[in-house]
Amino acid sequence: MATGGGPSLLALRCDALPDGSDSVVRDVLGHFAPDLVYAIREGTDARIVSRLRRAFDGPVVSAAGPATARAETIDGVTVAFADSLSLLEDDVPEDADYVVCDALQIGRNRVSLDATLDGLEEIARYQDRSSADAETTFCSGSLPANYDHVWTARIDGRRVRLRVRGIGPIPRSGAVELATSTLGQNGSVATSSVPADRFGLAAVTGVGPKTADHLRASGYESRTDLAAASLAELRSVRGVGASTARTIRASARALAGSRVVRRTDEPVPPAGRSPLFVDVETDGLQPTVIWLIGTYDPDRETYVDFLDEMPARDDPGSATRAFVSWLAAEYDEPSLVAWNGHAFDFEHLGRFVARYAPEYREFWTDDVSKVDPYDWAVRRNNAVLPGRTNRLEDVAAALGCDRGGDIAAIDGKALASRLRRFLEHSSGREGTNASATAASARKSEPVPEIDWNRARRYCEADVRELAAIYEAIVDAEPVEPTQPDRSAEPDDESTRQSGLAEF
Amino acid sequence: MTSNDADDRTTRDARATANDADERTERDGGDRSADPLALDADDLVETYPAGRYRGQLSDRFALPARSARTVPADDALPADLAANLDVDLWSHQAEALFALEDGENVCVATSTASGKTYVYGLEIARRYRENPDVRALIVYPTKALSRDQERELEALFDELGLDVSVGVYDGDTGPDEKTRIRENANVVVTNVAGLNQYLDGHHRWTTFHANCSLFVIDEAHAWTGISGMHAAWIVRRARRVIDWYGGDPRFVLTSATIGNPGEHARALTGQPATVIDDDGSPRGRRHLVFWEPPSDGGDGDVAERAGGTRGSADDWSPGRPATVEAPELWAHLCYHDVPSLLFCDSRKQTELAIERATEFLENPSLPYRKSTRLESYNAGHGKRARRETERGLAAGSLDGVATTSALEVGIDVGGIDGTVLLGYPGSRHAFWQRLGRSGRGRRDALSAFVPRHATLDRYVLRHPEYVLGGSHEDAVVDLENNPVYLKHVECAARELPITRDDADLLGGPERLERAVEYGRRTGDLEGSLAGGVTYAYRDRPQNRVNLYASGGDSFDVRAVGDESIDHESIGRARAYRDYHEGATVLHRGEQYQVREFREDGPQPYVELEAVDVDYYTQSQRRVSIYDPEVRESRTVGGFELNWGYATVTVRYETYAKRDVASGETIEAGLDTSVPPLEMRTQTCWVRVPPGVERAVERRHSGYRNDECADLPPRLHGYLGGIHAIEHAMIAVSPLELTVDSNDLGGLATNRLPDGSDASGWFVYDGVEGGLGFSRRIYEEYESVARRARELMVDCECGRDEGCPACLMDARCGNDNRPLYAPAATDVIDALLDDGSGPADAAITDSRGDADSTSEEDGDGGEDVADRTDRGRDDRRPPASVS
Repeated sequence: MATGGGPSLLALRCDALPDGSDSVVRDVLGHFAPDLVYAIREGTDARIVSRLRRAFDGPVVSAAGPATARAETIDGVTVAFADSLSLLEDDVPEDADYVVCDALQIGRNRVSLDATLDGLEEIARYQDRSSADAETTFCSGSLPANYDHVWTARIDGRRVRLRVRGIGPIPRSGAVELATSTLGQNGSVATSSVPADRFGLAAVTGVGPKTADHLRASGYESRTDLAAASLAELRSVRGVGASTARTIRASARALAGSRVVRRTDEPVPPAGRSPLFVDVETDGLQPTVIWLIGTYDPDRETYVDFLDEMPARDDPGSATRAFVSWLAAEYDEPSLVAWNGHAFDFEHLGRFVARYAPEYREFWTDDVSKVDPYDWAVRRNNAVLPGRTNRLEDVAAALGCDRGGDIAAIDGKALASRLRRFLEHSSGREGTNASATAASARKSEPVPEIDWNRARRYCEADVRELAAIYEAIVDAEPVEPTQPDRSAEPDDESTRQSGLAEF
Repeated sequence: MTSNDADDRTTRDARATANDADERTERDGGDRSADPLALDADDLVETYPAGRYRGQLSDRFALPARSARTVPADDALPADLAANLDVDLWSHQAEALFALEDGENVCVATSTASGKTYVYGLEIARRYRENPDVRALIVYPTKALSRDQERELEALFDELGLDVSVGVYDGDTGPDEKTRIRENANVVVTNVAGLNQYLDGHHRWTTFHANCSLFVIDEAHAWTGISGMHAAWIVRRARRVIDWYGGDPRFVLTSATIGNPGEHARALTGQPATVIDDDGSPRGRRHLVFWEPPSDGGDGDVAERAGGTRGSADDWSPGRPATVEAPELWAHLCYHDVPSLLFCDSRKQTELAIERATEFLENPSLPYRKSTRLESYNAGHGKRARRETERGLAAGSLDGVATTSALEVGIDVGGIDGTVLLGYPGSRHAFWQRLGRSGRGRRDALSAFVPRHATLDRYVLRHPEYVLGGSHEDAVVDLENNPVYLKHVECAARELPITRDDADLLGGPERLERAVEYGRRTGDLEGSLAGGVTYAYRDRPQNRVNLYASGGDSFDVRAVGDESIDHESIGRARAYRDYHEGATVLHRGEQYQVREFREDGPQPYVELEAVDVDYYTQSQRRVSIYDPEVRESRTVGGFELNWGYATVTVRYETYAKRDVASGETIEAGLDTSVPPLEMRTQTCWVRVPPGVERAVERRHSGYRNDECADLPPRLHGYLGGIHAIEHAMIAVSPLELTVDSNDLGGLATNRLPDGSDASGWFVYDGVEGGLGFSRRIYEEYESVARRARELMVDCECGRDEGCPACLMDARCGNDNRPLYAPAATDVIDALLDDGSGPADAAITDSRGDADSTSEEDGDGGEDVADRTDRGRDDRRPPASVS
């Protein structure tokens, strides 16, 4: 729901849902709690749209059917929907904050390395007609919700800047992710996404589309039903073996009860030692800079962070250096705990230590132990977490953590891309010859500013949430593993293996 | 066949059958003198059953023995290493070690079994001695070779008394083992497809990369065409990652003999390499015979099977099939104590060969009495059966094995004395590789080539100098293909942020800038080259790299039901061409049939089922080409030759079923149900000068092909000519380049789509973005055209309309009509006319004729008028044949 940051728009691809049943539709709406629902053009299904209309008490816009335009204003933000590009000329009100049109899509010619935007001219003319200070953000359900590019066009010799955002499902291996975009007043868009196959019974680990059918046929309608079922009852369902039954029940209980369910009696690492929680902020998924490292020590009850307020490409490791020398001075054999750390934080910290603080390479490799509770719980199958995804914020929210205030409206990705723009701007200012054109093109763009204190509060919230999740895992009752079953069933092993696949 | 001195000494066998005793006493020679090769070429003819010999021996060659040239090990190696090595080095091994000592990269291109593994094995040993933390990366083309090489290297390091640890790191390596190898192994053995994946986890390889000082690419000649361009980019990505951690490896490439080893090494690695190709290894004397199946059939029933069903046979028939003749020759060798391998194309052929050979040996009218132990060997046999056959070979308890390419490399085949090739294997390298399986070390060997009735086979039969001569096919690695380039830019951006400093490795500043802008616009990349470009998504772009496809979607290849099949995914072009529903697929010698072809889901796939049928399928293509864009031009004999890009639409609408043994068409015109395939790709095309066109058209205007009713009758001769050239050039291109001619296509037309209204023909690369083949043909146009001319002139069919072994192409969408060799040779002669040869007189005359008569003026006048008068379309309708 709108929380002052602008309306949230759920863009739904009908055929991406595991099934179009009422319960799944309600589950989707309940999870995202959007202000506006938009059924994108691709994969549309009139039956699901009508179910959406019945189940949702806000506006439901469908891109299918006769070409029409309409606009909604929520929280002072106007969102216009146009089913075709030609409607932009007369039918869409001027100065809309957002214009949604699925006909905006990318044309790719990989042989000539040309990428074009279908509809560029139409949106340029629309923007050109707008009042000088009004900048519209153009959104398309044909582009994934992480698409964000500023196109330029010329209208009668004037250069027009065009912000284009995707709002559509995000492709990934397996099912697409459905996304909600929060459309801010200043054009800033925050997204949150969940794989489309994580709704209804399919939200439960171990339940695929076939098993969901069989469960429904046996009378299980909801996750609560599954949580209450006995293992023997679940095993009697077609296609459900002993191991799957345990997985299903544990997952259903975690989801229905918003709690962690332990699946083994494995001690939670770092067994017997005090954890030091850590989180890093970078400029993207493949960082060139680590500019903020936050730590939280529950024994000392202190948050300590290392911020590089002047991040630069020529010395991207200064925060890492400060952090690792502090770590070596304060702790003999620290146990760092990071969420998904094996796949991100530790990987990049290790790389940065090796390159920018080589004198600590041995300390980092030999003396620092690294714990990844996500890896331990999910990939190694030791615990089931509540939450629709296992992302930190989702799990923390499911456990009841509430990070209100101004930090709720930012996410790590937005922070990273803001920092990237900041870095590009500063390197552009330094003006090497090669980037002269790029720099001049950037001159007209606003100087990005970073609220360092807000970033630090965001990082602190992250590590504290991590500590809370960790605590919830430790506090959950360990389960005595039923050894004979476990070894007899290859299921657990194969799940674990696929999660562990490494290169 | 490598060194020039061997070429000089190779002689058509002048009955010099006496063993060269002097040479045989050297080094490891002599030990078998008590048990010499049981048959040579003369004995073969003498012993062959009287009623069965009809002059099949069409050619015979004696390849002399070559003695080893050696260098004392302690010249090239530190004394303590040399002391532990109980053999001297062959000269090329020493030469390579000297070059490496000087800090150079090397590309070792010498013959089979010339000890190439020793070059890098010893180099690793030498480096290990200096620094026990040294790391080396070795990539092989396939997983299968890795384990063999691991054992070989371990044995070498044992012999040297060094504790160098070797680990194979691939899909079969367990997670704990992987960790151990990454952290501790000095030598990591992997394959290129694996490397593509492992680069993503480079942070786990910190120490390895920092200490990586040697990068070995074994069997480098294997990287050509589509997979070659992927390999070249993967190697560049690896260099970039290794460099990031501070490693600076030298390269060692080993290769079979190719025409361009230095250029190939540079294309693959981006660095210059010293070529080592002066082979110092010894070899025994080799008797090589070309054994041409008789044209009169031989024994009655088989001849009937082969020739009797030929519906369209006129005055000429291709004779006894090689699939019958080769197994008999092989059986004869095996019977006469020449343990031999018979190389076949498919599992089915190996099984059929056993049947034919057994039938032959058991025929009571033939003089074979004692029992002969023959086995077949192919992937269909399962591990245990194969191991047993291998043991039989090694122990000498088998007389002969009929095999697929499975025995071409790697596995020890023991004391094999003979090799029989059922058909030309497609490249000189494979030809010699297969022959080289007989005659280990200095032992004499007997090899036979039994040509099929196919283009390359016939060409080699008529032109033995092609395989015996000193030149070799070029490996082609095209860095020009943008769809492939983009994929690797995405991977590189995910591995480490890309900056301007990476431009040298990643295509140069201008192209990289374009690729980055493209990626930013499509949303795949973020950031700028000033600060670092990164990949925008969480998935792994490496998973979408398919070594066997260029752009677009690739198709998964699955097995029906619960069966599994180990088949790499395939590119769209290949799926449309060879994996439509109903198509038969030969995979590692096994027969399959495509049951399902799906591309409407998120992951396109085809589903195969193992079958046992007597036919194979071939789809026919119809081609149209438009929008050509010239990148380079040159003039050849007054013809304008172009290279560039064009949009090609290929329609594989129908397919035919052909008999496995005879190649005869069983059923044609079957529906493939695949949609047209459109691609932007590289192509070369030639514009025929109007004068030549008129002259040739007039000269051959009397030729008619009654089945070409849709073409203006006057044009049958000329269009048949340029159509024939297009076919023949594609057919002979594997003689110049390491190319599968299936990856090329062509079109001949009397009106080029370039606005010139001239006639001409195209040869294009059959994958999106191109492969560099048409580019190479553009560069080597004259020699390809010359070979095409030889093909049509020399073919024994003697028919103006050609035969399947010269002008005809089984995939021709126009059913090989019209094809007309006399017009084709006239056009080629004009093209190759450098103004000096008397052979060109005829066409020069007719061209002079056209140029000098008033008709030329008249035509010129018409030309001018035509530009404003579309009425010309009536007189000169567009006619294209592909």
